[in-house]
Amino acid sequence: MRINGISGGYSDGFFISDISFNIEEGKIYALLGLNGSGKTTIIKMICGLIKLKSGNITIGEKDLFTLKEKERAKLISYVPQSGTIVYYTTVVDVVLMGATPYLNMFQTPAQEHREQALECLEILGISELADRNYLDLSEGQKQIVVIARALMQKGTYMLMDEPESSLDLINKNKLMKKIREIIINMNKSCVISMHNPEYALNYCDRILLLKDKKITEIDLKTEDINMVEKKLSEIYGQVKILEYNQKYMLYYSD
Amino acid sequence: MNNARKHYSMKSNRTNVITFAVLIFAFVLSIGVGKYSLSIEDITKVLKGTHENQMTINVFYMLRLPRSIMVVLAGIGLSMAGSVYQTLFKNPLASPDIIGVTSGANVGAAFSIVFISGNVLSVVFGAFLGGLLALSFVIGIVKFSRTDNVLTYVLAGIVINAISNGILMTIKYFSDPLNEMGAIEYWTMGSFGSITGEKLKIILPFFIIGMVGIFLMRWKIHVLSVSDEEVKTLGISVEQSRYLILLCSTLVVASVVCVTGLISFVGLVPPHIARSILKRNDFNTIVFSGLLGAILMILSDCIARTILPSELPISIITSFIGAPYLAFLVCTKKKI
Repeated sequence: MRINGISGGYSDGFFISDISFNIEEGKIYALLGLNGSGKTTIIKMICGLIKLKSGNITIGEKDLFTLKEKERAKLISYVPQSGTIVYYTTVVDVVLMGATPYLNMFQTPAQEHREQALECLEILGISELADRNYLDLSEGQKQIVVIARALMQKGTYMLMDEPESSLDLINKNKLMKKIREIIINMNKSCVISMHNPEYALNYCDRILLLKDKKITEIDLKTEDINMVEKKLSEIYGQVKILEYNQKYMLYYSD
Repeated sequence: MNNARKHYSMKSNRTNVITFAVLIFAFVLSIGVGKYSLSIEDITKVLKGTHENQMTINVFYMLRLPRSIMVVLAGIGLSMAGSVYQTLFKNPLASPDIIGVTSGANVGAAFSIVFISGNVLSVVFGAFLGGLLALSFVIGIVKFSRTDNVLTYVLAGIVINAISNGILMTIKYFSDPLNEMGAIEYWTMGSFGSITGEKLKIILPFFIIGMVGIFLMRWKIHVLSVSDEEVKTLGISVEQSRYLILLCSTLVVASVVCVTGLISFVGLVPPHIARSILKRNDFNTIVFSGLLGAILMILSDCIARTILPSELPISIITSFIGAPYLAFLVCTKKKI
């Protein structure tokens, strides 16, 4: 997927312009930036939730926004900060919503879709939750269910807007591990906006660093760790990357 | 199919069968009860065509049967529409009133009574057009505001309700206090007293079209229960689908209230009871709340026509049943 000079924003004046980067298959991208830097805006522009004022997004030769919503939903899935279910709904019914792009105007999901939904739950290791009420789940479980719904959409590109923000430390790590597992195993691509650079360092392949409405890309596989440290320091102030037990930690000094 | 799902579908089937049986019983009761009571024997004889008393035959075919059918349709229609509104607006307190449909219908009826004629047909069409007009205004406001979200619909509903109220007061001001004012007031309290086979025939096509629409779009209704952003990324055109579903449910509501007048709480209470019994909110729950609504409506109507020597408006009964239930929900903070 190529994001070519996209611009867009909200009616209150927040505007982000000329953003370009590529998303490769089988890779996880962390979108990092301070509060209000425009991470969510970028995610929403790619998902078609905020209209582009200029620029375009292409997948192969296809311009994403010449496609119908339904066709786009087969390519891109969106995972919000938290799912918004108001009433009693079973987990499998939430996941089944992911079959919607594959249904006709008046069609409802069939048994085959139900089986696919159960498969998605199995892939994410939460089959036992299938018939539970979504509202009774823990925040961590709810987030995995929403990811299962995104998986059900069968798109290559998954865009996640701070999916770990409402989770505790243990669940944050579990979730990130799970996301990495499915993206790598199923050769999908994922852009995750997040606050904590440690998760980016430990679970992602590349970092998209958003500062002053401009993107700087860091390839964690090839870039020297000192260079990464220097780039992160431009946003977060003086930081030091420490390595412990094959994991990275970040030390902040004021 | 695993055990929990099997258990749910068995429970759901069992509940539907029991509710349906109660509904049939209530329907027969509704045909029998009234100033001129009909026994089961009378009913079976009339159906077989062997009853000799012309008066009984007339009461059955001209009064009771159309009335009871209308009561059932009203209960099913208002409750199912209420359930759809609650799902669509993600708000357990949503009902046709919230987006101004009922107050629009009210204005339409009052307008017909005062400025056209008190003729039944004109009131029916007045109310019907009023309801649809209110919905079009709401959609228009939402379009112009360029923010298509649930809150905009609710705010637009408040605007329409306020305008309708203003128009209604103006109409009342110019109405003849002896006849027309009474007719308007009576209409706002709802009644099945004037239902005839003719009226039933007029509204039935609209009712059926609305219901078929709701049935066909049942999966979309389910998906629209999540946030607009999620719905969009699931490949549904939110605005278009919401208009269509609202149009269908408004068609159902308008086709009912244009002949019965306003009926309070029936769009609100049965969906809550249905959800708390089934512990789900899917299309089964919407259908189930329709059945419960029909039962509630029949019982209310039976009370309305038997409790006093003259018939009481139906909203008096439904309000006395619905409001305490709502208070109970608030006090117990039950999960809805």
